[in-house]
Amino acid sequence: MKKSRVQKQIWTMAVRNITRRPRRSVLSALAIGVAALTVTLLFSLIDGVKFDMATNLQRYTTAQVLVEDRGLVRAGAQALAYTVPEVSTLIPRLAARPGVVAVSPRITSGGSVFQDGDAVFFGLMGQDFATDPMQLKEFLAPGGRLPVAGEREALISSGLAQKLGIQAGQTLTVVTQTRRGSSNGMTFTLTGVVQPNLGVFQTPWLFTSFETAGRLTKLGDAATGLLITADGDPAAVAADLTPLVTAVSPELTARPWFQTSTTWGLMDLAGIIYGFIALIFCALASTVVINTMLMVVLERSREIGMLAALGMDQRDIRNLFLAESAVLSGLGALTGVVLGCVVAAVLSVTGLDYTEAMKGVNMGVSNIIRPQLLVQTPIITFVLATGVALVFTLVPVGRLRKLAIVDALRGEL
Amino acid sequence: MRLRMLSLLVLIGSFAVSPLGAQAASAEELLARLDHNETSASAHSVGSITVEDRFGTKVSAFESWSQGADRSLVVFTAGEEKGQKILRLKDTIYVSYPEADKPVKIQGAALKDSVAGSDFSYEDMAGDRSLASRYSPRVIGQESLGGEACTILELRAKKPGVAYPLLKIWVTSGGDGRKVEKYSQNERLLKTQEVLAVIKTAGRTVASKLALSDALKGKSKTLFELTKIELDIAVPPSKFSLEELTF
Repeated sequence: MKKSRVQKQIWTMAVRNITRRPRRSVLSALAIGVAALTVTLLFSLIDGVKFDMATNLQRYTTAQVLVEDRGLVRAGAQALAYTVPEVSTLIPRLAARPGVVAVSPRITSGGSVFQDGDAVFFGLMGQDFATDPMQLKEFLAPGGRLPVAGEREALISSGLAQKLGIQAGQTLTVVTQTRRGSSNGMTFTLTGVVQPNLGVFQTPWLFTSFETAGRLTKLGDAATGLLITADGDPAAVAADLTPLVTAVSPELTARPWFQTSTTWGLMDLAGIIYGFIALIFCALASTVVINTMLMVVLERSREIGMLAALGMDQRDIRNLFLAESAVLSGLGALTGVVLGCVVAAVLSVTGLDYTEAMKGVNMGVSNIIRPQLLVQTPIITFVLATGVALVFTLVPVGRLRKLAIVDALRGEL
Repeated sequence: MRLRMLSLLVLIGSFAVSPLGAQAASAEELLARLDHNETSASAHSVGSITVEDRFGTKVSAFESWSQGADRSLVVFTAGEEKGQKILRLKDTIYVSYPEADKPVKIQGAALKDSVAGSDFSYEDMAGDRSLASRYSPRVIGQESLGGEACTILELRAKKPGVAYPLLKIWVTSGGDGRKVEKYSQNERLLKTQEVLAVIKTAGRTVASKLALSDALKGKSKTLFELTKIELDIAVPPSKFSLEELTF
């Protein structure tokens, strides 16, 4: 008998055997299916978080390349002590480099408002509203407008508006520290309320023009960071800009966005950890397949003995059971993956709302997370779920290695 | 000598030399002389604050007025703080800024903030000016400072909640403070103030140059210098009102 014909018969027998105990087969496939569905959703959620974090980092914090002082990360609250100097001459030079689309200066610091005997603290950000990648106009509440550059006008986050009980059109007198540790105050006219889609901005924030923030903090011709919007490879652009910025100060760095965030670095580690979790899911589901296949082997011991007596070699007998397992787990994994893709596709539209959970959390993740279904996700999940089940099937099928035909015919395996 | 007065508000006329004699005095007597010497009916002064830190040297000029122990006004006339005004009414500090429409009442943790970037905080300016009412003194030694014999007074706060629970003050026999060390509750040195020069006016001796350093700030150093001081002059009461702070 030709080998291919035997293989074909094995697959036919496998399918037929599966239908002999339909409820048990469905249960086994279901276990694999649930695991595949969960893993598909897990992977798509992780990819969604990574995509969201990358988008947010570039939009809210760094653009594609960030120029800042090395000491800034260590400085914490004294951020104004570590600045990018000579920005008025540095910005045009950076903007002229290939791959650079825009250079936007920022001042990020803090301030306070004294109200009813208490000090209310807030984050202060001065930015160029036209070029800043944050594009705050997209988060403006109806009726609001962007502050005019250089004027004592500001936007406030919904968190600050709620905390102080104020709204657009009112004035707000704030106090902040200057670079040299002195204090300075300013009265702002509030031109609008914004709610950027990031947990950290639900906390109190005040946004004003870069020029006004510079005057308030007495920074002079300096910024706490330059955000470079680039259309090329961020790492290559950063490398190209590095000599220009270090010529101004050896303490300055130009880094691609993915090198600026510790949280982003942890996401790669998280990906590996979640990969192991997915493996565990599949392994747990495969215990059902092990159980099923073990029962199948024991139930059919006489049948196995008969097949062996008729001349079917042990390898083909083992392949028969592996084929059964492959069909069961394959069908289950396929169903699970398809369902997982459907659910992920729906969630990628509706999103998962973590607004309350993310309140005040500075992880760079949006309040609403949308799973991202990458092309490779269903393939990897299918291979993982089926592969783990097949590997686990080797345990019961291993009993057939030392098959004694006589014992098998007696029903003793 | 008082910390508050020593620093920015030398204006109040502290460090006037009292005619009390050279005979040995008890800790209580020396403290009473300190309290007496540092207060004048009124004062007007002009001076500067020089701050040295990691960025370099920063100079801010000021003009100030005071009346009694409870009211004072400082107006910055040059430097980064030009246009800022600081009004003290008893325990309350108000600050007005050129670009703020209304004065800001400094309170809470902000009282620990620096005045004009110096090693002097708003907290140093506020509070009861009488040392005797807040501290229990004892003599812990004698030391010559700048060729002048000084008694070292250790002052411990009578009640909790005082900005500096422990002070050490080097006092001349006339009751003039020459040096102050301020300590935390666990007796960690926080700030040091030292008189570097004095001027005589209206029959009194007033510290005209003071060095102040904040042990927690590391390399920063503040120098207060008075170029002009007038004591017991007429100052209109309206000078110490919130209206005075509006631009």
